[in-house]
Amino acid sequence: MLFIFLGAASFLVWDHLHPEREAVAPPPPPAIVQQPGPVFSEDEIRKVRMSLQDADSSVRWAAIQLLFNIRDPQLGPSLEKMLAEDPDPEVRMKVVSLFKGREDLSRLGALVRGLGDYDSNVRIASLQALGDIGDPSVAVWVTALLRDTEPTVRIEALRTLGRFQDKRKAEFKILAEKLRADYEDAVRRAAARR
Amino acid sequence: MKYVLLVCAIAVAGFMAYKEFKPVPPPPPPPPPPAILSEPAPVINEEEQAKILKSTEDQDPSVRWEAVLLLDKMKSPQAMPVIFHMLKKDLEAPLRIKACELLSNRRGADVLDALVGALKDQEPDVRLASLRAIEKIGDYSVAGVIATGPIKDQEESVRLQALKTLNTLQDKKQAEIEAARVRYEQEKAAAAEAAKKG
Repeated sequence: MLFIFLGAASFLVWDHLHPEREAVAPPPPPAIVQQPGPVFSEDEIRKVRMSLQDADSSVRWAAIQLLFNIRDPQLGPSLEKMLAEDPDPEVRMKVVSLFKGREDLSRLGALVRGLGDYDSNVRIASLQALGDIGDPSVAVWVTALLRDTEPTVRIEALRTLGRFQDKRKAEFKILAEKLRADYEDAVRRAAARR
Repeated sequence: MKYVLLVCAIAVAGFMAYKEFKPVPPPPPPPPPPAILSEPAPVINEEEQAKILKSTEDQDPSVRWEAVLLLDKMKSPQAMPVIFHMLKKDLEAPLRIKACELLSNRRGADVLDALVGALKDQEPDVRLASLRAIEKIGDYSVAGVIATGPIKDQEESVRLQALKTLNTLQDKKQAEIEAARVRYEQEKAAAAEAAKKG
């Protein structure tokens, strides 16, 4: 009886003092070996592209925005086509805005074509987009707009040329600073060697 | 014979040691940095610049002004003559005023000549802008012109501005005279100190 009592007591003491075993860590999640699948299938994307021909301008704009957001590989040509051919000037202006800040999409040719648009707002938007890009290689087409019938377009053309000059000045300043720093570094190293 | 060989060996060893331990001349200083122009070249060629020059005669005043600003930004040699011409001949008074304001940040005899010419403009606002520009430049040499012309202007505001401009020029001249006097006193004191020590 005593043995039974002692056995039970020692089991209770052992059970009380025994450190709890740490919870077993959950197994790591399985490694993701595949990219997430596309939200839209090729077939669906084709349908969205077909919506670019819709008679309703808001549908066309929504379709191009969607293609822009899902980074459709054919986005560049679609944007160029819309900028050149869309019947709604407002849509063409919005298309120009999509080029801004996306140097990878910046088709200078498309924006230069936008300079010849019959709607002055599209011409102005194209000038502003070209000014944002700041590539002076299109200066010839910009100066051609100095003879535009609309004074607002002529003013914007002059401002765009000014922005090209500003950008060149900024690049020039960076280059001059770099050359000066290189020279001073070379002089310091030569002095240290001496 | 042995001694001769020994002397030769020592001479050769000495020459080789000299060659080995000869002090290396310091490396030549690095070439000076390539000449850096103070301003980048204009982004457009002369042919395109001619189109901008033509825009300074546009029928729209805002276009004319933007064209002038662009020429000025590109540091075109035509910029200053165009501004002078605009100040003298442009039909729009606001543009002539803007030209005065632009010239107030420049220096030179031709700038002062143009501004003095604008003191006779038919628009009082242009005359005022010209006086303010002269005041900002602060060249005392035109004080005589202001004292004989704008101070008797038919417009009260112009007469007032002429007096203000003259006052500012006078203050500036006074400050220059005072600075010269202080400099002279310091040099005199330094010379006296040196003579005392000598």
